[in-house]
Amino acid sequence: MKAKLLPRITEAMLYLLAAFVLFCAVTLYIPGSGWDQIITTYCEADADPVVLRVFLTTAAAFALWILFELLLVMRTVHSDPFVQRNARAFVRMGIAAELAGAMFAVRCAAYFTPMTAVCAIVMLLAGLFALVLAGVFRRAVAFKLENDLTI
Amino acid sequence: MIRVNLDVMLAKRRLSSGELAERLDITPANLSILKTNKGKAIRFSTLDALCRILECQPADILEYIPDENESEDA
Repeated sequence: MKAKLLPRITEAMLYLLAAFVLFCAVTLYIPGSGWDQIITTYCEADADPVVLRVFLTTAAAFALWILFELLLVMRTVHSDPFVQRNARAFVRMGIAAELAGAMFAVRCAAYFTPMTAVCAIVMLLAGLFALVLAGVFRRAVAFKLENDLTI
Repeated sequence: MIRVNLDVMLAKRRLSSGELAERLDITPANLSILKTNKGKAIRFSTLDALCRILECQPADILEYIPDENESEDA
């Protein structure tokens, strides 16, 4: 029971997080919404609201991409997770995270805030983690294939 | 490469592939992998069971065939 519960909770959390990110991305463009007010207040300090909206939307797109790939990997946990598709999924997640981290790093250079720096470091680290995991998965797939073909 | 010659021994002992798979306690699919030389490795326990069931030596069912590249290098 417990073995099946954790993957289901993880999958539910992935869906919730994706829904939250999508909600935030959509409300960025709704006048009078919480995000809109935050951006207006933030942009009083000489930041361009259009650039900020584009930046946040792109970050949300990267986050949704990573969540989508994670969800597809989670679905294979019950059957057979050690397949090439999952190794490629981790590479894509790594690329998405590195691109997002690079984006935050560029923003740091243009308009530094501590939270932006933290986000940049976290995304770059997460990207590296995903890329290392992709390498491990590839080896695991090779071992599994060899084991499957051992009679 | 190592070629697995099961068909000859199966014919000699008048056994079908299905019967051999059942006696070996492996699936017909796995036996097919062995017969068609798609396997990467064979366990000693499987080889032991094969020799016992087919009443033969490993050399009767395993044959070494040099690869074309290896023979050119030699």
